Amino acid sequence: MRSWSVALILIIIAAGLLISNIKVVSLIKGSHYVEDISGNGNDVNCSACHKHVAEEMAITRALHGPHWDLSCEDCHRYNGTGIKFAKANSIGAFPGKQAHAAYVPSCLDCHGGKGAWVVNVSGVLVHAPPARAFNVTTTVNYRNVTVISSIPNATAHKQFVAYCEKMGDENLACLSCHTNYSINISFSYPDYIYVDILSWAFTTLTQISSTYKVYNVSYVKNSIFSGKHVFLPLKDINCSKCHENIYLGLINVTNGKHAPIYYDWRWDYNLTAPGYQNGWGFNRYHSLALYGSTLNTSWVNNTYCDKCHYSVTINLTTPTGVVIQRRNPFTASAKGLVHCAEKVSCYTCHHRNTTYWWLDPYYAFLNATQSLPTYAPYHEDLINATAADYPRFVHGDICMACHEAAYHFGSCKSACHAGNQAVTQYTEP
Amino acid sequence: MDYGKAVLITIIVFALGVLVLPSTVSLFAGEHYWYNLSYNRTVPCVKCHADVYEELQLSVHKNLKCEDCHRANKSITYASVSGSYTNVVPGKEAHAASCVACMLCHQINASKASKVPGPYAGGFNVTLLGIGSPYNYSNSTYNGICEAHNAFVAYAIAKAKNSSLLLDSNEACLSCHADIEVKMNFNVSTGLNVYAKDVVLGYNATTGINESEVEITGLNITNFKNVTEVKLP
Repeated sequence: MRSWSVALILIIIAAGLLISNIKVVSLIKGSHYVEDISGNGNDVNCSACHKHVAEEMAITRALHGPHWDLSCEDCHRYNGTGIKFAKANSIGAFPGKQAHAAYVPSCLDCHGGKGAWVVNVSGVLVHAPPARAFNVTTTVNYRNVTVISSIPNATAHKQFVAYCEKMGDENLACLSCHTNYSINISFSYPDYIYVDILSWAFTTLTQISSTYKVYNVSYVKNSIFSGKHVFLPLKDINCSKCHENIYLGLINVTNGKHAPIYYDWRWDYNLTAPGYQNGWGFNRYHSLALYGSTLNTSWVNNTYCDKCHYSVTINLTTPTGVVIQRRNPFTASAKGLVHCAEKVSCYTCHHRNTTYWWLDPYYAFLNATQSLPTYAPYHEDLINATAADYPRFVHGDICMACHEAAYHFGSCKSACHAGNQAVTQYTEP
Repeated sequence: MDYGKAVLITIIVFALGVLVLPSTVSLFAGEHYWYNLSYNRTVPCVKCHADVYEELQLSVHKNLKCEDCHRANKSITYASVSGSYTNVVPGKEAHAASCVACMLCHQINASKASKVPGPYAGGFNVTLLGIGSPYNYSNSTYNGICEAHNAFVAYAIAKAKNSSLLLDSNEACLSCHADIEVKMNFNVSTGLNVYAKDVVLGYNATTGINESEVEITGLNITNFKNVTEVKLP
């Protein structure tokens, strides 16, 4: 009985299928439902396929980072480059020329030149500020994309941006700092330089050794997608994250020091306080505060970096003893030739005829035309030889040989002044 | 004999009767009612493709007939009856209908389409990526050199040449313009490797001193991650 019933049910099902299978189905369901895109805006929802990018932009909005109020179209269908995108509206359909739906913008499309005005998601016209230094001279390449043709020499990250551009995507450099895109950096430094001293005179200086030491920085940032669409507020861009070796060089001696640091045993970090002045009565420009015997490493932050590398407004003591608070108008950064950091060496400030000369009351010490203190003629020889023949990082290494001895020779006598010899000078981050 | 067995035997006898008595009962009702295709009449596609018809009613193509797309390729000779039954043109490359590439009607000067061409889908360039197509995607004015989805379109074309999937770049077109489900597996870089090295550049007339800088000696994108996106219809 049961087998007969099963056979009967199977026959009924087969018959049902035979009758209902008159219709066939499309290869892809929905493929004939072509959407109407004749509205006035972009009717194709980018987020439908790029949901993770939309989620990253949501994080940007939560952070209130740059671009938080922009739509996909504001960047990827930006109309300021001359690119004609395909569009359809109530008037008709217009084919795209250089692009159909979207293009991959260059950051400089909006941030080059004098910047650009863009209508945000609220319909408000907002200004995209120019990317200082990288906006100075731009050209439009064969793909209608704005690229940098000349970056001022004073810009510290010139090589990074230029190399990315050479690779075909200068955006990578922008993204590395301004978004959650991660970055691993391998810094190579020459191990040391040689200074030959003969009859108390410097004879030769060899700046490059055949071996390099390498310091690796891995700055991995969290991202739900590529991280490229999480735009960081400027306050969240931390120099020390990429320049960890320099940071360590500032707070301890593990990797050699970066600049001559004076640790001040004060708690208030008051630049005008008497204890904050050096032996000649001038403010210690490079000072960092200590709390008790512990260095407050939080002082080593972007503001501290800016003191040398971006010439922000600071308290300065002029050679005439007047304390002023101002920004040096002659610096490359003040002229808009620097993006976030200026390429400097000790020589930049501590030498006559540089734009910073007036910061240094002892500039004469490093200038051959001045009447020199009797105790330092040979040092001046060395510095001048360096200035004439050797590059920026060697300047710093020469200065640091005396001004920060922790990583180098133990004393003046044993190192340089023990007779005719070659002095080995380790290089700094 | 129980009731079920009796029903089953009845069905089997009836089925055998249908098969062995053709002169008495047709296998399918209406099989001798032939459509009159003279004067370019067409068979009702919707009879078999009702689902397509239903989709089409919601589509921006709702005013098009099936043959406007599927019998529109000028390079294909479809079976047709242009006048009375004495003017029959047998199909060559296709009998009733051909699969159609979106670009047949939406390419530049869609002269390969026998019907009124659709608006040109300008702004793509697949030749930049070394991909050829029988359809004209670009010319010197509509060069598509900045389009972000060129690789998607080009890959769809390349894939179509070696598979029985949709023609030309149709998958790419439909992904954006049709109400279909799309699953995408992105393999994205989440980071950058930079190799920097202190180098000596030499004397710089602008700065007045010998220059060195941190030169970039290598750079590559890295930290790839697989992310799946699903576009729901």
